[in-house]
Amino acid sequence: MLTMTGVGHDFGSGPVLEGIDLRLEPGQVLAIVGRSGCGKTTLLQIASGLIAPTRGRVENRFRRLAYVFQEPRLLPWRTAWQNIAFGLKAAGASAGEQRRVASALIERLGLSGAADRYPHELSGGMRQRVALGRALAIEPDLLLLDEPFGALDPGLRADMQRLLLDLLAERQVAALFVTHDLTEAVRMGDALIALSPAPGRIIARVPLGRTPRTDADAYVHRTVAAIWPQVSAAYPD
Amino acid sequence: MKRSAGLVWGLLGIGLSLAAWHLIALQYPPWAVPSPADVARELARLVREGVLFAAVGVTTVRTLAGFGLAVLLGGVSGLVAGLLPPLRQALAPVVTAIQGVPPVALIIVALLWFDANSSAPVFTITVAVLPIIFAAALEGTRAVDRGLVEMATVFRTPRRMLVTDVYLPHLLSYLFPALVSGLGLAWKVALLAELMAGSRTGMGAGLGMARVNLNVAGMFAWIAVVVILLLAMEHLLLRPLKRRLEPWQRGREGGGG
Repeated sequence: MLTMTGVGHDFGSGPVLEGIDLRLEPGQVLAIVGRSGCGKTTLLQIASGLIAPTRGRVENRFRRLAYVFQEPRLLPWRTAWQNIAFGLKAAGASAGEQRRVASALIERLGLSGAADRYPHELSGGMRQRVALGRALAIEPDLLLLDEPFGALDPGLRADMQRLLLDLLAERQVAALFVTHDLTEAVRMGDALIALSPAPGRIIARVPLGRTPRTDADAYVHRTVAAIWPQVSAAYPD
Repeated sequence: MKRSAGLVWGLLGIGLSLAAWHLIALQYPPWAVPSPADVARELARLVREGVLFAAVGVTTVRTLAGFGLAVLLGGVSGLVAGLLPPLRQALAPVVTAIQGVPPVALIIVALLWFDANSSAPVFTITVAVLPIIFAAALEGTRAVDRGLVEMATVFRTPRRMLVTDVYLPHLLSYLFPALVSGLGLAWKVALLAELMAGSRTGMGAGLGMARVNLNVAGMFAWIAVVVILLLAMEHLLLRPLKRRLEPWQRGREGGGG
């Protein structure tokens, strides 16, 4: 479980986040929406421990967390499978273990045949799959995702959303999913938090259902229309 | 295709230079300006007498010893200085000062401190090449992608692995041009040191002997050997090494991608 109580942050040029209270249960996917610059990334960095908040308290009871960035951030000098195994190697796993876990993920992520290719030989979508594989390889129980599909074109994006939803459900992983796209938040989240423009404050908390496998698009559009009055303040003009 | 066209133009350039040299040599007596053929004959003589390979061997060992030391010391100190800003600020002016010392002055000092026939050239080469490697390693370390370092931090990468898996591979691509120019400098300094120290062995000694005998063709022959060695080192040692160490750069070189 992850809880934040009264968390605020200031990089020195005015507050970025203010009075954030949130709670993430094991296996739950919490989507965080808001316009760019509202402190979403800072919130994730605080959750990950990369930065300490200037105010408030963070309690992280999850065992192991992994991060997927907006850009793939792969090592250009390592092949796809070596990039997937990066976190395992850092944790001291044996070479055989690294190979085994990476191979299984490559299969699962639809990257068969690309295992020995370098990042510059992969398409944008494949690179982001490798980044996702790297995060899942260490078997996290908390996944932090910072607009992971923001740079992908719409068709690819829908595929990746489906794949990620399946993976999160399969592995019972909790996730904080940051996005500026409300439809994506509705599709991915079990619940949604909307942040105001800077400094980011929580202006709405919306419980959501699981996205059904059939007629997912219709469900998403219906839900977005239904919750719009609650979250519209996150998107002025 | 592009590569072979480059080769053709390159060979043409060399051929034209040799022809121009030959034409100039025709205007002067051979003891003042020897022709390419005179120099080739002189080279053949040095090979026959067994002088050449012994001298090349001695100078190569000195050059590589000095160069290797410079790469080791400069690379490690540059990496550490890149990681620790206070150390960087402390070392930067020192290295700039060392870089300002002309190699000739270094040689004179080295002759007082070291043995002219072995350690003096090695010391001079090390001190002359070190700042180049240091600066490249420092800049390379500073230019590491912060995003990759942040990623490694999130995955709790141990410090040692951060160096071997993130910093060093990145550094290598930064270091390569410095290695090429450093090696070139190392040869030149080696020759200069041997010549000035009056070493009894090595190519500098051969060059000195040719000068004493007013054998201009012999001097040209030694110079040709240095140039050939330098090119051989770059294309037979450094470039294959780079290809082997950086398989991920293949297909990135040139315009493609």
